Amino acid sequence: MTLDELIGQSGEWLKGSGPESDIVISSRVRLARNLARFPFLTKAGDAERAEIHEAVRRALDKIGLGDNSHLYVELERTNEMTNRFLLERHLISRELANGSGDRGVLFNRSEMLAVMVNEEDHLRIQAIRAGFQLHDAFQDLQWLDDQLDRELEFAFSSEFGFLTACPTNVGTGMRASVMFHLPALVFTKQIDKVFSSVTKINLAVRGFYGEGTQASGDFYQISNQVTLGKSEEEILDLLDRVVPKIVAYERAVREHLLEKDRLRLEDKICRAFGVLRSARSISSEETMDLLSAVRLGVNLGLLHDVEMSTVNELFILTQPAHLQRLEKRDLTPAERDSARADFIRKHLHL
Amino acid sequence: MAKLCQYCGKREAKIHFTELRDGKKTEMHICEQCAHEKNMTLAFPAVLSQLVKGGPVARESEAVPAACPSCGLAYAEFKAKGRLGCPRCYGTFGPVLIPLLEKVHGAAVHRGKTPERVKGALASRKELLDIEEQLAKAVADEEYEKAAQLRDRIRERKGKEP
Repeated sequence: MTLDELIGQSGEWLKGSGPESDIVISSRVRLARNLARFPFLTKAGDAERAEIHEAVRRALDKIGLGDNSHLYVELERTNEMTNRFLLERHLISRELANGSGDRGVLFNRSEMLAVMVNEEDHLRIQAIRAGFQLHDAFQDLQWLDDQLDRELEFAFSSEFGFLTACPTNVGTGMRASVMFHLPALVFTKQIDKVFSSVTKINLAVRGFYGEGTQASGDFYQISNQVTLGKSEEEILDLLDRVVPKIVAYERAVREHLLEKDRLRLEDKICRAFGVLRSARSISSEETMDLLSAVRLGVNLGLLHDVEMSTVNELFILTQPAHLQRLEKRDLTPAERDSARADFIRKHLHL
Repeated sequence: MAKLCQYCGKREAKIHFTELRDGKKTEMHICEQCAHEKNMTLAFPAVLSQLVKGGPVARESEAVPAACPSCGLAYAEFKAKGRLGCPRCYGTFGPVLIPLLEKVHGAAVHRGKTPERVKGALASRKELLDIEEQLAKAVADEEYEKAAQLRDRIRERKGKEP
């Protein structure tokens, strides 16, 4: 499997439908782990970093990801554009992309399982599923977690649990998050209500690309803050209770808009679709905005000429590094905006 | 003679724990309430060393090691960056970590998954302790044949352990 094989399409989790997928884009669980016999990356020297990287790679090679097709990318050996590409696909974090030294990511063809090596901790194992499938995503990780521990021996204490570089991750080392598409709540300026009630119960709200990113395309990720003192099931249960409430709220507002404000809503959606189908040059920011309205249009049955999976994929495939990889060369911002417009027009005229 | 709980100093200690490590004996006496609060199950060894070192959980003002003997992370560095240097830092900086963890997570004891590998080791250690207890009882009851059998089982197990 090579990176180029991934270009024309997005990960399975984005194509797939899953429960509540009109509003819940994806569910993600990640576990932070460190090897017991090495210091954390905070204090590991270059030689130790290399040793850790080597040990983890060997273990991953041996264990695999449960299917025959997977790829390891050594980020120190690749260029900036490749790192951005992986970041855009949600396979790596900003921290790994911008980091230095021996580090990398292993992922399978469906991109539903990925392991980051030497990010903030020695390992960050992640599973993503389409729609609202948190428990399944969590289960996907268990086998891998156990196998890796057997091979590598994770740092663990009965008192503090899985030991991590940052005390905010210690214990379960688990961050469970759900990505929502909430255009109606944003359109009616009620999104802040969601934020305040969610943060009150110790959940964090983040943008499309996670920590430190702005909300864009009306996407919001909600995740747990607490990782210690609760079991993994308790953390998942908390999200289990909150997610349906947010989904119901967004659905109710969408229905209300259809009933009371249909003209304004349809106008916004159809104009968005119109621009996307005819623009000759378009920025990523505008693309995210317009695609969000189109996605809502498809969900509400107001747009019939485009598939949900196409819209979902376009969110990723119109990102800068993806376009450049497609064109197989570096592009200036102006060239990118033009390539983006061409790409979108092509995909929306099926 | 009733011993007072080493942790709270108020209630009678109902749970007594003795640890033999490297030829040194450490004893701990704790009341049921404190044991419950500290969430002690098979977490004894870790919690024990924590308590024995610093007595009741230290407040920030109490003496904290300047640096971790294992990785060299200075306490000042930890305070500045908020990151620890190695697994042993959790033991080294325990006294200040615990209040921090309480603040961040509302708890300072792990209640989630235990790796299979650790579960296995903990289970066999507990079994060994059980057999040793049974041996002591058999000797006390003058059931010498039974005691001999138990002693042989212990020898066998210890022979297997690395």
